[in-house]
Amino acid sequence: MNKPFAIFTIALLALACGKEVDPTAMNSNPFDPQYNGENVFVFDTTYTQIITIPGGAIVNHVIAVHVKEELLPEGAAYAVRAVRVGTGEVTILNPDPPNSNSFKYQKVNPVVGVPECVRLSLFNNGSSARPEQICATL
Amino acid sequence: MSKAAQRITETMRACARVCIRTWPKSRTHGWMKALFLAACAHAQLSTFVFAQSTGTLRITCEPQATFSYVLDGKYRQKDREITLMEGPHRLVFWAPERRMLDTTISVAPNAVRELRIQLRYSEEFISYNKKLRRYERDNRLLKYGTPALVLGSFAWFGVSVYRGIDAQNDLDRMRTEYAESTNPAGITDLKDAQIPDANKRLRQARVMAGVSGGLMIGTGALWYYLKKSRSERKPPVFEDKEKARFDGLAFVPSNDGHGVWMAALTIPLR
Repeated sequence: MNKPFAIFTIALLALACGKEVDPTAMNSNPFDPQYNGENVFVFDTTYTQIITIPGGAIVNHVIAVHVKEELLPEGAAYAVRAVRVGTGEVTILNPDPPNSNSFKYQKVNPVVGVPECVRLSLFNNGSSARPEQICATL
Repeated sequence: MSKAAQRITETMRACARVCIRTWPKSRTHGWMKALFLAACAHAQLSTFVFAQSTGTLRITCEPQATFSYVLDGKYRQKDREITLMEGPHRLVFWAPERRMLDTTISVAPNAVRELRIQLRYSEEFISYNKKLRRYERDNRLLKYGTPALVLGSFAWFGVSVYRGIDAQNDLDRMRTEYAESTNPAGITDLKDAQIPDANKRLRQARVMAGVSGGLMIGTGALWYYLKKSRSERKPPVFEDKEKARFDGLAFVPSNDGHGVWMAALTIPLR
């Protein structure tokens, strides 16, 4: 008689101790579009890059950033989606140099003294995480 | 008196007269003559008895196997075919669980009469039958119904607990998946669909486990209570009052030709 009662009590307790998960409280993963932690992208530097091509040269405005990998899940692979503020032009960035956490956004025809803003977000499987805006002025 | 009986009587009388007249007077003692006359008188009387004609009664009674009857308030018998003196006869039919049927049948001379009787169930038997059915139904409920309820609620409780544990495991897995995921769309799906669904399953399982657990305890207690109370109850006993009345009517002949009058007394104790 005691054994079934004990099993019954344990089963009830196990079920009673089970907790529901509040999805709105889950916002610690930087890949979450509703991520609510510190910024993932860190502005490194901005500069102009001159690329020589036959018959002339192209000048690019480079915005260099790096990702705080300590915030990401271990061993995470990812790209960065950059949306230019104002035009909405989308660019997918890969690490530069490869297998690093540094990314470089490049825009042709830079204008000195005018801030260039982009919205950066972690990008994987065709979807992007929370965007962070970074502006740089030459 | 029938014509045949009258004919026999006349013949006997004629014989007696002839005997008396032709008897040799010289050899005859007075006492022998008296004996002879007494014999003739007896013959005369016998012819009168023989003059009562008989008829046959063929009885078909439902229930056929168990019925019996009391004839003319004296003889209890079960014969399907009886030969009776002509005239009215009182017959009281009875069978176990049936009501008595008291009737008077007129027997026609030299004829076979078919008598069909249908005995109805007695009120006591109908009442007993109802009580017995209720008792058996209660017994069935105790034997199969309540344990089935207990087992059913136990199974329900088990399934609820299993589902609850399953949902809880899913939630734990999703917590880990959220922390390790690098797929924003996957995280959105996890938060918008999978976790609420698992939460809902956990809530439902918890409620169901509570309800089924309560039901299991309740039905278990009911089972125990019914088992205890039913073990103290006795099954209904059929008291065939009609049989007692019928036995009171009967004259049961013994082997030596004598018989005893049966009597019964029913004392209702409740």
